[in-house]
Amino acid sequence: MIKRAVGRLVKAVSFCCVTAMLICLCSYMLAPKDNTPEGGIINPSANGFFSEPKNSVEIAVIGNSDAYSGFSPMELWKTFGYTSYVSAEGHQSLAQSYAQLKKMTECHDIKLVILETDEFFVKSGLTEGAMRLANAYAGSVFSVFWYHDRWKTVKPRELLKKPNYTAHCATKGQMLSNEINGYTGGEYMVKTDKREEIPLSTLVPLEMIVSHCRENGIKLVLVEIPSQTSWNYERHNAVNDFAEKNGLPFLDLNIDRESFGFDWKTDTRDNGNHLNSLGARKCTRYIGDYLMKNYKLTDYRRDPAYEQWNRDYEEYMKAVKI
Amino acid sequence: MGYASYKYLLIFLGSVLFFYTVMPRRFKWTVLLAASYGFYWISSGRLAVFLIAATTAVYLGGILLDKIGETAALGKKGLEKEEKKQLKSLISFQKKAVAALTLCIIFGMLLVIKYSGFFANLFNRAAAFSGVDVSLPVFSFVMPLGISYYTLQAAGYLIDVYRGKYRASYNFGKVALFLSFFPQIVQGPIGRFDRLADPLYEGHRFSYENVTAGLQLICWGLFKKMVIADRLNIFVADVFGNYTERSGSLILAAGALYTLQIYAEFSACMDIVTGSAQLFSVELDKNFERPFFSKSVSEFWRRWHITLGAWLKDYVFYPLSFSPAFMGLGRFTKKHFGEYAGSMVPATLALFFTWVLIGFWHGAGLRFIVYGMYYYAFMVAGMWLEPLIARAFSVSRIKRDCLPLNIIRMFRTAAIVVGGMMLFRAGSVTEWTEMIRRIFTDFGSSEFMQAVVGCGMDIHDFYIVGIGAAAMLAVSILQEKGINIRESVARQYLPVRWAAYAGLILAIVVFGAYGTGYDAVDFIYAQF
Repeated sequence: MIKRAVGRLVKAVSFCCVTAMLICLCSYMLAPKDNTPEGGIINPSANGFFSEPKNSVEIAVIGNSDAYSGFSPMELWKTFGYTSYVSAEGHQSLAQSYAQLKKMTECHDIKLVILETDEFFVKSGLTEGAMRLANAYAGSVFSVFWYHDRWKTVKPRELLKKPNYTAHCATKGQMLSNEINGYTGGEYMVKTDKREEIPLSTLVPLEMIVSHCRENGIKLVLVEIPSQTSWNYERHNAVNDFAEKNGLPFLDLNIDRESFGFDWKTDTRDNGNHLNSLGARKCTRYIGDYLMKNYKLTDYRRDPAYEQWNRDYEEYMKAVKI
Repeated sequence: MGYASYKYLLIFLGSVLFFYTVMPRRFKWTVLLAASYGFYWISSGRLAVFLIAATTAVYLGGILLDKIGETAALGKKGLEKEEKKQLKSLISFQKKAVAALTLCIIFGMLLVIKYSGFFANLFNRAAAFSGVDVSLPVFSFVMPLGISYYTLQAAGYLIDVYRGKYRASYNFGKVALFLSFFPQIVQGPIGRFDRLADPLYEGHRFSYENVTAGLQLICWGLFKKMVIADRLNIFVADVFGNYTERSGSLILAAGALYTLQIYAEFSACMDIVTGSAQLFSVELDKNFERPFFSKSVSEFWRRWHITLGAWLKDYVFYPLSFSPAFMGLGRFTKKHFGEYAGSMVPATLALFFTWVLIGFWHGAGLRFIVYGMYYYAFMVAGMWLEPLIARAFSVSRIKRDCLPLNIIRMFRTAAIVVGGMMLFRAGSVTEWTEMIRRIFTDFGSSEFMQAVVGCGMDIHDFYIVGIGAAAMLAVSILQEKGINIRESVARQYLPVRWAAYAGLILAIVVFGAYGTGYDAVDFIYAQF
């Protein structure tokens, strides 16, 4: 009886393993072999770091749309000479951020991570959170769940080809906007002692990001880009508590905005939710200034190996209109 | 929590199976009951109160009927013949009153929630038309999940107790589990207490055979839902949503593909829920029996949504047909119009009420009543013309039951069904008639292929749907021949078996219409 049960258990487990291996094989075959839009990769600009020269990026900026709208790697390069890349996606969860960070640390010698904190408050149930985390893990091993539809376009010779990333993103992940749709409402950062609770479903991947940084000797800086629609003082207090508890610096750019010349009338593209390129430049200079004062990061502007970054800056400036 | 979601399949079902397995046998039913109410609560929240109310009503109603029956049996002893007659009459009245009251409660809830808006609108229109200045308020209620299904199931239980088919259950948990069992509450199959309640209640040991068979059925259901039905939804939604800009040929194609979509999806759901129940060694009633092999509309409805048809046959059609009024009508027509009319007229009338109810059960609206009448018209025409057709075959000496003719009949039935499904999918009867008009007046078959791939699905999608539909057809043919596919596969060597199972899983993973670029599609029949 027991022998039969064990036999069946072994069979069931073996079948699951075989199926999982086949799914992995499909994942490999259908995964985009290039990080260009034509290559089929989801969110090419957030994944453009794959094709940057190995170990050339030292600062990883991760977060959601606030991060890719409000941080300008090219401005940081021009002003301070630091190499950074924004790997952010709209509605990105912390679990996804963790997955992206892991990918970035595999390709580059990341010295510092800027984690945008808006995504701390993405509410979801524990199950949902666990699934997101599993998804983030599975994203690399079982990428077929994301890229399964590529069976329509993939060519037979591509199936077993090794990835060759060729995309080039001159803005280094920033979504550049020249639109000005100002926010003219009242002050949203009204001081209070109240705290909004950080959901448990986001705390778990957050702790994983903190641990990953600690284990790899990476400095972690929490940053909140100005956002009138998604930020308030209760959230500020909650992140501040988390930062103090974990010994992390927290820069909330919503507070004391005037000190770096931020103006809601000119610096937002959609009435206070996301920043435009002007707002992003101001925030980046402020953050860069903080990094320069507090961390020993290398200025590569005079390094010939980074000549491409200067050319990218020229291209970036052509796109900037405000 | 949809039956095709990972939350249901991986988390919910996995947890319930675990707790069901580890729980001592006599308490296993409590796991199913808790899971069923948990499932209902997650899906419908406070609307569970209607399910509890219906359960309480039929539970108490059943017990009252039982008690009345017991009292009658005891009271009969030592009575004179006349007194017995009087007691019988009193008991009959009491039982009818209890059954009627209970049915009023459960159908009353359904009527108010699902149909009050329709009737209030109808009344207001009639009042406005006749110039009377009266109007009823039109309320719009959120529909409790599965109310159309569990109401019929509850009514069936009560009527069976009333008829003395079986005794009422004094165990509230058993009745509650019968009415709320999570795999069947959303889309059926509509269960019968005498077949379902005991297997649910008695508790079963973990069965490796049942669990693997259940999982295989779930996978096959997922294949039909995710690979075929959800992919077709893109094309169908596009054409039906913009039918005024589409040619008749495209509309016809969309009608045919919608028929395939709804069949793939509804039968997929039945496979998933039947497989889910099988994990707990519970067998649900069959709801489909390869309906597109039907040679007539009436056969189609004996093979499609079987449990709904059977319920209406047992609790509406037969009681009506054998009621004194209908029997009297039969005698009257037989006397005045001959034997043939005597048998046909009552059946035609009973069918009319049955089909009004079938239409109305699907939704509150004129469209659904017309939907019922559409099939009724074909069915009645078939019944009345049968002697003529039989005579024509006899005179022409053409063999009636031969393969070519049967194939033609199948296509004819399918064509009628496509017409009905188009009405079911259309927004209104006017839209449907306009679509039919376009098919006949603006067919536009030239450049059909280019137009087809411009409606959301590309050529690769059509290939996959074609392969999927061919697989469904192959399975149906084998089943029609009496071959049990799962047993046949289970008899193969391990590598063949595993290749089949893993292939099915990989097909779902790779060719499923999910993720980026696809909208999650709710089960169509879950909306009743």
